[in-house]
Amino acid sequence: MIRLGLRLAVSGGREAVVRLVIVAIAVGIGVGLLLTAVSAANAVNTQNDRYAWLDTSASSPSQTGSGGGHGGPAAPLRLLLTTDEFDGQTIYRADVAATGPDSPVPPGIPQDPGPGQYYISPALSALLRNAPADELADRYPGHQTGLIGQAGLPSPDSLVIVVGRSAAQMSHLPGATEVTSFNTTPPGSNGGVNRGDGLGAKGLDLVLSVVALALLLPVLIFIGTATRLSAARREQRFAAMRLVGATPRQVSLIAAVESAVAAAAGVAIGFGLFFVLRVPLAAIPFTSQPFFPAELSLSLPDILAVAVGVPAAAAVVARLALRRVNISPLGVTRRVTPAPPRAWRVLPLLAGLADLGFFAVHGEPASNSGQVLAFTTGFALIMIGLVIAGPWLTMTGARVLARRASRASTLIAARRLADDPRAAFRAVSGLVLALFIFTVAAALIATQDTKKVTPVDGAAAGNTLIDQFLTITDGGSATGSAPPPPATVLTRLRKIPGVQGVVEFQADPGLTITNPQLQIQGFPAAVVSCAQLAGVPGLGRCPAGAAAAKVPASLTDIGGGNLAEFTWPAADVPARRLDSLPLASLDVATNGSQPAIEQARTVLENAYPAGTGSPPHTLGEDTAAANGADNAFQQLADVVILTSLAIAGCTLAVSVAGGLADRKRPFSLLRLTGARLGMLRRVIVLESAVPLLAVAAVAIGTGFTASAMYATMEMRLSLVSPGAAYYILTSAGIVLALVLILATFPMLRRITGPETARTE
Amino acid sequence: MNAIIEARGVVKSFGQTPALRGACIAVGPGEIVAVMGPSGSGKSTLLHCLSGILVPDQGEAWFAGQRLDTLTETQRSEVRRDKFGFVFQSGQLVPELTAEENVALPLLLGGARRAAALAEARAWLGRLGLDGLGRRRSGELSGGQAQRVALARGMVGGPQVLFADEPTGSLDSVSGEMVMSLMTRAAREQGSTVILVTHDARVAAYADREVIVRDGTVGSLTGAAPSAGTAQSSEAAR
Amino acid sequence: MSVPLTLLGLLEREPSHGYDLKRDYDTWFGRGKPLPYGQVYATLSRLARDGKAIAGPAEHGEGPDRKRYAITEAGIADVERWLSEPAAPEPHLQTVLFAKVVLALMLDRSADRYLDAQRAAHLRRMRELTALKERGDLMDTLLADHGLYHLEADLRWIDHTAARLDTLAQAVRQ
Repeated sequence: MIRLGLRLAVSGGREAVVRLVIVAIAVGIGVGLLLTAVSAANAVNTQNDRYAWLDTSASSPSQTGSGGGHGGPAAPLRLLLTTDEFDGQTIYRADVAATGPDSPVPPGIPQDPGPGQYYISPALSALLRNAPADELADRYPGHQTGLIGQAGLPSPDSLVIVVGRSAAQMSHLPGATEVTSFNTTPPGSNGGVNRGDGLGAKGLDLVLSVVALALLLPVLIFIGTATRLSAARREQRFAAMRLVGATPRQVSLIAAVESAVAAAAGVAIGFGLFFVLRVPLAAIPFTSQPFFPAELSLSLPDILAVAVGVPAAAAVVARLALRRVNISPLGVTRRVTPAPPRAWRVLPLLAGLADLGFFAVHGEPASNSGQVLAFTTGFALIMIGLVIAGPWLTMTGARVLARRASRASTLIAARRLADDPRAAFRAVSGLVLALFIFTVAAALIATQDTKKVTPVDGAAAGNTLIDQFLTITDGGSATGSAPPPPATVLTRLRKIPGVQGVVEFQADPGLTITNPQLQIQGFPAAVVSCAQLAGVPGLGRCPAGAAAAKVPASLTDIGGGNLAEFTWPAADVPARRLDSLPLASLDVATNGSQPAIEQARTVLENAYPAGTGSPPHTLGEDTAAANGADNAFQQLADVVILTSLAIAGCTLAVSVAGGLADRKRPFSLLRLTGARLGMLRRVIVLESAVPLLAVAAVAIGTGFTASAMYATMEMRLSLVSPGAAYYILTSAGIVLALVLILATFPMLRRITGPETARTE
Repeated sequence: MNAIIEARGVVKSFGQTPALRGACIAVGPGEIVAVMGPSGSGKSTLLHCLSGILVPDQGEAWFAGQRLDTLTETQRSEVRRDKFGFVFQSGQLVPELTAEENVALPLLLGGARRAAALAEARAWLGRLGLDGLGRRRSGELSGGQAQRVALARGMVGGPQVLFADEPTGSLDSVSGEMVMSLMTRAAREQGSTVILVTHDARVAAYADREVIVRDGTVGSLTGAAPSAGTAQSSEAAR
Repeated sequence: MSVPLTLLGLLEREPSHGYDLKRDYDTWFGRGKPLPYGQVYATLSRLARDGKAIAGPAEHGEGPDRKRYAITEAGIADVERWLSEPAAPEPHLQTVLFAKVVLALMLDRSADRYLDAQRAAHLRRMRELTALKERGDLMDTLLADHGLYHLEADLRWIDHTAARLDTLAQAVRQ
């Protein structure tokens, strides 16, 4: 039986082989995508794991208690983990001091560096060589001892440095801890590391799942379309076998074998695709950092699941699809027009829209899981609803067209459409979904862009480098400070070309400031000398005649506004007291040039070693970090959309080619009775273009409606029209589809020639 | 003699259209019966009900003393495979298989070993004058050759009943004559019963007797009941 | 072509003079060859002698005796038997078949049954010829084929006529 199935699968003549190849390719694409998604998930997790050691702290679960544990090192490591920035890139820095020969060693290096030594990642090493010393290299005491290996680097492009210190030096670094081992898995949530320019681990998993699903649906439709090629001929063949006495189960088995063969070929193609695409894929920074190519790996269970599961699934699907033929050995000899689609088909689509509409009007559910449930239900219902309602919409549109048809070609096309709307819609169903997803993504991203974080406006404020020593706790109180800067530091800062001025914000506990424009009330305040403030115009003004003014203690934690416009309230602090107050932050106003910023940063870091407050950063860099997540989303969305459009295009191409074969006989008969080729061409265009355009309009309209409702409900924004790129791409996509349809015309004359109408 | 295959009061409709309204027929073993009637009279439907392809809406179909219409789809398929043979007007061969594979198909479906099934198939092809054509696909055969392949397939399992529905409908007169001659000769040699649906009198002339299907019921031209005759009595008439 | 039985059949429709019978026969069955008066009267006399018809009293008028003939029970039985018995299947049967069908319609008898019986007889003959072909030599085969084709033509006519019986019945009753 299986042998019979194999024989039928491969020896069916040219038509059958073509079908086999197309199905295999379709399955191959699907498998390739699936493997990519799975390996990307693996890579993300691996990458996350390698960030883990940068999150190690004394309270990490990996730390063994004192005197406990099996084989834990006795001598702890003094450790300080900080992040730094250079030219918009994050540098991860670990200052270490080993207390004994058994101290833990960070991953990727052979031993702890001693004082005056450091290990460095290859990317950072290259950066050090190319950048001026006073911008970067001067931050790191000592010389390079070696490179950090892959085990210590999240990404090939990671900038990591492990600086060796003496125990004495470490004790001067506030925030240094003692650890007995390094984390190998990330702590619960995002941990303490500022990875502002990327997506968190959990977030990316969710996004990858959604992406995989969004791509899988068009692929499934493609596979379905390919499987339906030569359906009539295959049905006839199975009917002949049933007549001769094949039981329904035998026929199912044979069909399953055929499908499994095609699917197995597809799996091979899919694996091949994956291995070919792996290296270029790794370079795409989904998490804003590229992967090591080897990390895009598949575990053995993954491979087995796909290699066995996909052909098995194909076999099951084939069994189900054949249930109609299994009923009748008379097969195609008794074909009746299938029942027309009923009006209930619009219900899921309407239900989805109603779901989103309801929440748009009444507000979103309170709980997070409730929100997720509401959106996913709404969008899922709409997407499935589009596919289900498609045939009914096509039929209704065709009937309207038929009633108003004045020309023969329109009438014929409309009647053929109304007679079998399912087939017509199937060809464009992939495009419908792709267009819907595209519209929603473009509209929502455009709307989201209007919400870009602008905490503080004004170019001058954006270029001000802030070394913040005071932190605002969650309770709203202020802690931390630093000693006032030595004069040498101030001189050096002022000498940097591009630096416009230096301002000291001094901490005065108990002082608060309220400013409605900045949306702060009772916010901890710092004091600033008006003389200094006058030298830095971008940070606001003092009231006339005042010697000191109150300013927000932390500029990074306040809302948006153009700081240059502000007149700060006067602070009643005598000058003598002012000089003795500790430093809340040291701010350097620059002209925004990179050398100026980096040199100032280097000076500040050397003056106030790592650990005293957060690393120096400009307000502009803050904004970029906050917006970084959106950029990553956008890239991902682009990839998804282009891929699903491409797959939908393939589906259409295959459908059109298959439709051509179906049209052979009726059209050649029409030609024999005198219909001109031009009229037949018009019929084809109408038959294909009408569902395409009608359904595209519905998809785009639904997309905008759904996006508007989502925007109102969740993002509290009104919808913004997406940029020109969206309109261009959409039009291009539809035009390409039409071109594909027209591409069959040259073959039409030959295919509908008189010899086809022979009574065979 | 007892009937080997029978229909009792068979009613079958397709949607609104009634095809058979209480058809009764009984055929004895070894008989060759022609089922005639105008087009649309339900002859083919009667054949489908008798052979288990369709299940009647009402009434009974009997074969070899057992009810056929109450069997499951799988059981009826097995009866068709092992006990019946079919020769239809067209479109019955599997295009992807060679002629000998087509002929061997019922045996292969019944679990026979490939070599044995093909040997039997070749023997039958030889008997019907198709030596050397075994490796051809059905598309490469002429109409008459294809029908003979279908006949070989119908006979290869040694069927008790051979069902033929317009077997010569697409053939010219000479090919048709050859096919009918071969069919009746092979059936008589094997002792198979033949139920032959045709509107063509010259084809019906190959049978022992005829029945007419009119308005969904079965009758005979002479007004006698369309019950089982015997092979012997038909022979005696010659 | 059985003239006596045809005339008898016409007589069953209604008692008639010889003159009327000849006129009817010529109209329906003559086909350009009118029946001689002599044959008509001779046939009528013979029928009367055999008891199939009975002659009424002579009526005076111009020409030969204008006797009015009527059919007897025996005559009716003869007509019935003739109509229901199929003719021996042989080629060139059209005239007989035609006559029988028309008469059956005129007499309101079941032409269907008659046609069916004829079909059965034809098929039986075709079976005989087919069996002959199977075992005979080439000459036998050629002759048998010839017979078969003609029989088939007859059957075609029978089918065609059967499909039009209603229309024919109306035409006949005028």
